[in-house]
Amino acid sequence: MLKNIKNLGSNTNLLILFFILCTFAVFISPAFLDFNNIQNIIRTVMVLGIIAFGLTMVMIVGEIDLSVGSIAAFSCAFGGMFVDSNSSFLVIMLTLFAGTFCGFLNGLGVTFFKVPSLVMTLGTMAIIRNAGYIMTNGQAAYPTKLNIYMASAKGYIGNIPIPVIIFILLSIIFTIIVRYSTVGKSLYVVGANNVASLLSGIQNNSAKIIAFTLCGLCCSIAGLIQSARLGQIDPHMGIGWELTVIAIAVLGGASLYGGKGSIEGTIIATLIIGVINNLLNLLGMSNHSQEVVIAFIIIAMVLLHNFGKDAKR
Amino acid sequence: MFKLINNFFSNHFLLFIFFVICLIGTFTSEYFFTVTNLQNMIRNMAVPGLLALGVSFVFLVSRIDLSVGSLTIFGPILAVSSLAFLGDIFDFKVLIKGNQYANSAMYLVIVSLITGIVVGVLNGVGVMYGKITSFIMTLAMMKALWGLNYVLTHGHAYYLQIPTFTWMGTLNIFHIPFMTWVYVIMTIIAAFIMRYTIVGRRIYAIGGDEKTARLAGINVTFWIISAFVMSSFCASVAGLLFSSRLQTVDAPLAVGFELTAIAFAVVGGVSLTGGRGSPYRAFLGTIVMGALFSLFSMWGLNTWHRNIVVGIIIILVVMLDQRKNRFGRI
Repeated sequence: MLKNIKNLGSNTNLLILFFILCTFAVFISPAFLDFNNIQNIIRTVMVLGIIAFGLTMVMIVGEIDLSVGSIAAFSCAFGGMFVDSNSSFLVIMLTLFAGTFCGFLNGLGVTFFKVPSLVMTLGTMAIIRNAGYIMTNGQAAYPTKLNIYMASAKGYIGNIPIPVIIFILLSIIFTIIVRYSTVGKSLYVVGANNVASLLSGIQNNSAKIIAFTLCGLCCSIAGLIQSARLGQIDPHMGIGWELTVIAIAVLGGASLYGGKGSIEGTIIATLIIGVINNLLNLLGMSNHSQEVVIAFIIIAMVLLHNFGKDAKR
Repeated sequence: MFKLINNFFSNHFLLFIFFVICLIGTFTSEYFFTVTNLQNMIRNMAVPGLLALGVSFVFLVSRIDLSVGSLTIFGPILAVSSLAFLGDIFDFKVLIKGNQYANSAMYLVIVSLITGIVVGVLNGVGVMYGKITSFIMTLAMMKALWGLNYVLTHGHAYYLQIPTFTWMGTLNIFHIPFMTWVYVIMTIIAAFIMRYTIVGRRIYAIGGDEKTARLAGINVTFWIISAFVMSSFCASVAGLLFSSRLQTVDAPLAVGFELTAIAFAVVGGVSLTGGRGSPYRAFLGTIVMGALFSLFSMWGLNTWHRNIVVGIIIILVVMLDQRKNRFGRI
């Protein structure tokens, strides 16, 4: 039992913050605990949360992905070109395929062409987004006739919205992949010490490619849900997402130097960002002042983490 | 002799590419080699060039600065809105109808520059004393400034059509725009500082190997903070030029400038890992990319195609740089 608590380790701070925020929110507005409000929090923040799962994996191997917003927009636009076929299955499959492929290309560039991931994804961020614009002529497609596609954001199973179910399912799947599978463990080893991982027979390159590919897949899923939620597939979607997503991953304990971070941390961080947004909305603050507050919280959390580490030493 | 030529060629390779681009431009478009277009070309280089110059200082100490884009317009916005706030209290007129700024240009310039320095110090202190990775620190700073830009302007643009301020954006001296003069002079000063003074030597030493520099008794903390201050200072100068050219400051204006700045510096051969690069390299990157942008608009390529080409160029340049150390070492 004690060991389990210790295992929570780096996430304790986050959990404490989360509960403090929730208590605070309840005192400010009783509406916070309303079932609809909780649903709403998860719905709003889950799009970025899903991308943050992918980015956490990329950050665990010690790389960074700035192209997430572009991949989300491009993959949806690619699927959206086939909206006229009236087949949800085709559109969804093409969307997921395009996202996965873009992620794979990023991985290929980082591993085989040895371009640092910051520059590689900075480049692909521009390339992929503008390829999406050229492909669609900058115009949105409307998937409102595709029932299954729309259900991914608007449907309910029983009382629970489908996007919330998707979020929970994905968090379970990625937690299992990262924490318990061989692939997940090799990600940590590669990120922590890539020489040691090579010597112990792990293929660094394939681990990195897997991380980037999964990240691409996450982006396309998130983009799909966002497009369904808005009822339009817009190639301008996702500008500036990369920053919020990186913020979530860092808040969740991922380090830019690799080898650190966990999906559990990212889940809690996602919820924290959601609760903060909701809380500030309840307080009546504007969207832009929320950005400032979130920036301060990120710096404060990183400072807390750093000084906590110093104290332990 | 051959070695000398070879050396010259490898060090100034981009200069050669710049002339090739200009030649191609001259042959493919009758408007490329006209005074107006050349003036436009070098005028448009000034703002991203200054940003690239700034971030190259931070790159030299193997850190990164993402906050320059938001900072570019944060200076003028803070100046205008703070003076408007003071004006409400002490009852003097700052904004006349339609958010038109009508007060001292001097105040605008001074507050912008001080803002730049303060933001640079904050970045540097966060990175060195707070031990926050520079990527995260400047990312958070960028988001905070971006949000503040909207909060301070309430989403409206401020118009700065005061003749004492807008001459910076429109004046030509010897047919060369004032903005370009500022950029070139700042590059020359920066190049001089980096090459012949203690500042440059310290910064290159830290970029080469931070641990060794620390053991050699260099005050690493101070010099890295000053690299951030130089970057932010360049950004606020760029912001003044930018807003005087547009005669407007508006919150959504300078979005994405940090990426352009990084692209320009990287193309010039400033290494992201520190210790390699110089103001001259940032200058080379700026003129090559500036000429390329001008060429694209001559050809009638739209922004979408242009951005794709820029993305490909960044990746290719870094890839070649990784493969063989082609651009030499300064």
